[in-house]
Amino acid sequence: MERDPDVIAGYLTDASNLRGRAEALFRPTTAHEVAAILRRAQADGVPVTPSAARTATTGSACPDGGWIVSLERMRAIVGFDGDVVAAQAGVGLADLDALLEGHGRFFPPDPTSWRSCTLGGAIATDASGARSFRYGATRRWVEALDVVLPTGDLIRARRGDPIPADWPRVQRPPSAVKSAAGYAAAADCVDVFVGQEGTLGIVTQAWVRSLPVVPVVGLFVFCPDRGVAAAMSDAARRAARADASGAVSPRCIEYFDRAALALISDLTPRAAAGAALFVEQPIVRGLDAHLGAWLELVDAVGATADDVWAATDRDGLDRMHAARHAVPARVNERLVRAGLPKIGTDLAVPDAAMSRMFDAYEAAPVPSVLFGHLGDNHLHLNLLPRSVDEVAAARAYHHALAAAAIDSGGTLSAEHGIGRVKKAWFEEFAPPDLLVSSRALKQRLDPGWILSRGVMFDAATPRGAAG
Amino acid sequence: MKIGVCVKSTPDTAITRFKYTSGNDGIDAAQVKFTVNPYDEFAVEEAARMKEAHGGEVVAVTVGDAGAGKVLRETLAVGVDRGVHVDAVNTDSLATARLLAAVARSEGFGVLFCGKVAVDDQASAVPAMVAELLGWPHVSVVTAFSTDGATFTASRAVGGGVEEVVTGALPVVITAERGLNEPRYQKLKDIMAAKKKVVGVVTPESLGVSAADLAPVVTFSAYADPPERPKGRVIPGDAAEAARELVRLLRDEAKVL
Repeated sequence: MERDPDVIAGYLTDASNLRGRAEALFRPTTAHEVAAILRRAQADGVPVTPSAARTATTGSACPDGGWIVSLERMRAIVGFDGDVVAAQAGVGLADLDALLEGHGRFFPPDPTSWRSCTLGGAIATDASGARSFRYGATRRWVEALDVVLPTGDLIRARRGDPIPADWPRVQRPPSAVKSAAGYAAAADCVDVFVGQEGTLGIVTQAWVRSLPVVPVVGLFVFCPDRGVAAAMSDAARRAARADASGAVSPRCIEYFDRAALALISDLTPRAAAGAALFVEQPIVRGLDAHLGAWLELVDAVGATADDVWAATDRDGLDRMHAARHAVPARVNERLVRAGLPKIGTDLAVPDAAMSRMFDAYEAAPVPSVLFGHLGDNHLHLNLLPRSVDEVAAARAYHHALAAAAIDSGGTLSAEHGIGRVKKAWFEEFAPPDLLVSSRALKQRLDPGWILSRGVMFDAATPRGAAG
Repeated sequence: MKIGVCVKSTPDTAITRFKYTSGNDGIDAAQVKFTVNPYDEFAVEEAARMKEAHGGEVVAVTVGDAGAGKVLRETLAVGVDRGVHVDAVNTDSLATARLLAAVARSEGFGVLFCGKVAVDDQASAVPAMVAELLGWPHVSVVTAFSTDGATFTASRAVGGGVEEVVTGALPVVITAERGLNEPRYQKLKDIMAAKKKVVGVVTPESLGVSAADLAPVVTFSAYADPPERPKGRVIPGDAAEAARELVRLLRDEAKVL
């Protein structure tokens, strides 16, 4: 147990910039040590916050008193059978990829934070990224989990293992939209512990699947306006859905508006454009077939081939990725310099509602940068207020956008999760059945509500009464 | 004017893990992804810019096997008009230089751009040899180049912040340093257009270079990893004590203080 406040201070914030507090820090090396900590916490009613790399944007890693359990010393890669990797939760996604790359394979989820985040963090948040357009989020790649329940019990959940009969089932309406808002309607025991944001258990080891590396060509298409980019995205998505290994079958479709492109004009061949798309096309049919088909698509939607930056080798792809990742990084730099909070959306909507959402994003009352995963109708609108008054206006606008997204069948959070920063809105917007059934599951697995207390939702009754 | 540019196919150092051939006398090429030598990309870009400013034709030349010819094709999308692939084994620098000089002569290049070094053997030998064989001047490690079509000015950083400016008359062999230019982004249109461009394959015989000319004067006897670095040492104890011990070790043992 570490009680030095100077050491603990390094564990109190995540990328949300919330600052928590804690009395003690544990850095266990085995699942049994994790279990012993949770048993004692449950007996004493001490809140416990699991801590991975603290890259979440939601405050889920910010403790609200009590103890922190960091998985940083559990970072062994335990086994690899050519497909499935067994690794402890504290292993970095970058380390996992380094191992896999040596075998010509890769781990499909690619959260923006993959260089610094951990496998356990990715599982706890059901992390996704640009490539989730093709590969889905982390959930799809998890085969089995070792979990320490909040009571200190250890379980091993394998795909297909039934959920124990006495665990309340999460009631969640089916949705066509990628979502990280709240617990999943779990199909098996593994599902329960993916995307639970550290509220239902601490994953100590995971078995995850990998894919063979496929060469890709990167295309960065500069468009005169949003309409052309959206038409191109729609056409590419239709083609990809019709034939996942067709000539046009991108694994990501990323959008940038004019403001986003202006932020990275030194990193792309174009100083200015109305909008742009970035796609990665796996080369499964010979490069020429793909390039020819994309060229036709570019022509058909009213862009021109001269507006397409193409990367056919590692250098070129690295340049494109650097440009893409520079957008959020530079937005953050700008806000930090101005000393103002970042207000960024993580909303996603069904196909039919995207055009209206686009209009709403573009009507923001303060300066903004719009970019993200257009293939999943999941854009990040970053509002950049210039004053305290504008902060209030931006927050109100974000709320209105969230309401509109939910109203159209969308989600409050497509990938970042709820954490602490969005729990009030989750309470407001989530279907009542989902909230009731989620609280019931939480109560069943964590009778003392010790684990990540105050993340995702509070106990229905005031905390004192819930015990 | 015909503008020549030499291109070498070298291992992609970002992703390659080298393995030696069984006799330790070379690199196992089957395990390696090859790409355009990074410094040659600056040479290609400079050639393309010279053509855009003065007209002419950019011809890229490589010596090597079919794989090298394929790598040469990559330059056709970034400003090169035509490729010449000399189908021969790279035995040593002089043999390669003889072949490149023969191409330069038969094409009638007015200028020849090369990278300052190839990232595989790090020899920096071929461009100077080509210049010598052609009887042309040679300016190495160039960071700025301009020409009016008859004369040239080339700048090179010679250390200590000093810039040396060389002027002279074409033809000349120029080797490109990082910073000479920013290689252009590859456009889809150019990739498609490159498919219609031609890489001509020539043999040493067709260039009038005999087997005797190509006999290596340098042979590579063995490859080995550099010796492993000794393990780091951890000095235990509290900070003040450890710092004292560190200073003692640096003074008495490493003798760097």
